Amino acid sequence: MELNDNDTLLVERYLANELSESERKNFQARLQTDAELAAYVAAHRAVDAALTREHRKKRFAAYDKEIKRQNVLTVTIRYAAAAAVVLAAGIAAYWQWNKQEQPQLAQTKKPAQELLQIPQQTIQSRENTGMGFAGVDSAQQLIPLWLTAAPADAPAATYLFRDTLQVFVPIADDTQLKDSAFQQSLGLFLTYDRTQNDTYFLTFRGKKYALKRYTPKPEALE
Amino acid sequence: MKILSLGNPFADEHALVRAIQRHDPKAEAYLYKKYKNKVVRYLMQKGTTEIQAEDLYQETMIVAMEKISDANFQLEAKMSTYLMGIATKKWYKLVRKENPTVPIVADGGNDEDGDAPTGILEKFLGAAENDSEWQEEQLQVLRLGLSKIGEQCRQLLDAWYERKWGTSDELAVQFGKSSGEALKKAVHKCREKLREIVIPAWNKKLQY
Repeated sequence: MELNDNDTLLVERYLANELSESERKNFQARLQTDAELAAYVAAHRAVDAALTREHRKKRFAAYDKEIKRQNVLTVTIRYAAAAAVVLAAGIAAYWQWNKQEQPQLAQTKKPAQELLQIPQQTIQSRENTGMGFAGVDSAQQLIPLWLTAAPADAPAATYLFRDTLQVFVPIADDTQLKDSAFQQSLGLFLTYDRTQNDTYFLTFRGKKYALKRYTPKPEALE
Repeated sequence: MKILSLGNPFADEHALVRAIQRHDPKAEAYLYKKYKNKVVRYLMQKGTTEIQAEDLYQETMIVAMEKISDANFQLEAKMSTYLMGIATKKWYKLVRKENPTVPIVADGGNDEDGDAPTGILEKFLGAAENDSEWQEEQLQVLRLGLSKIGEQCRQLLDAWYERKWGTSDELAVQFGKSSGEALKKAVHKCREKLREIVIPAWNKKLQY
């Protein structure tokens, strides 16, 4: 069957659902009366449907690939999010644990800030009552923050203050300073050299700092 | 029936249907992707393997898209219910194929929506819709036909059926046609060539 150009376009627009409501009704009425045209259109529609189906299948396969990619991405993101949560929880737990490990400066029942304000002249004092030591050194930038507190298993009332670089170890006598377990508990090493003006040295990261004795004011320590 | 999910470009399911009828390519992709996991899960709960469920989903969507694309289609339930209904019929056919003793039930075994096929169109479409094996045979004939209509026609039909949802004027430029209408006429001629090859072959296969 040979169609003229107008009918060809009409069939194409009909197949593509492009006809208006009235055009479609008119065309369908025409198909009712023209069996040859109806068979022709039906055949085209069948081929059109098969071609559409064939291409749909190809597109569906492409959608499936996209869905799989998205699913993989979703799973990856979920795992990454879960890992991030675990990591954050780990960091929070470590931070909390680390915080608990730090000795309570409040042991002295004095705010930390106040403890840091040990008078300079006291630090410089040469009096040795066997109560403690304060270190003042030029290595201020080298002693890290974590040294501001002694480990939990260090003897009670052992404090390291980074800001003033004072090492204060209130002990009954000097011998405890020489105890290696005690030194290790501080994370640093103290050595005593009587030949050098009875000076204690603090060794940290391979560097040696001289410590000056001082007598803390009892009221500052309670 | 408001579609609530994020990134949904359609106001509701009726808008989605209208977009599919307008051949909006985003609508087809959206519909396919939105319901895939849900329908596949549903089919797997019925005892299919994942591969079977995915095949059934494709068949479901082929039928659904053909029906929804019809200008007269009216969505009378939720889209998910509608798709599950088709999927259930497809699943039941699979079960019956594997075990013919399974009884035919009212809403599962018979997936025709209307009367038995009578005209040539119904004969082809109906058979294709209800019998995936025949559908595949039909497509094999079509592929063979496509290989016989010449490279230019094949390329034109490929482009038309892949991009017919875009503007025909744009496609016309690519194929050196003066206008969208000229392109449609060329498509018609190519499909006519294909029709002359495949319709007799389909008829022959249907007779066996």
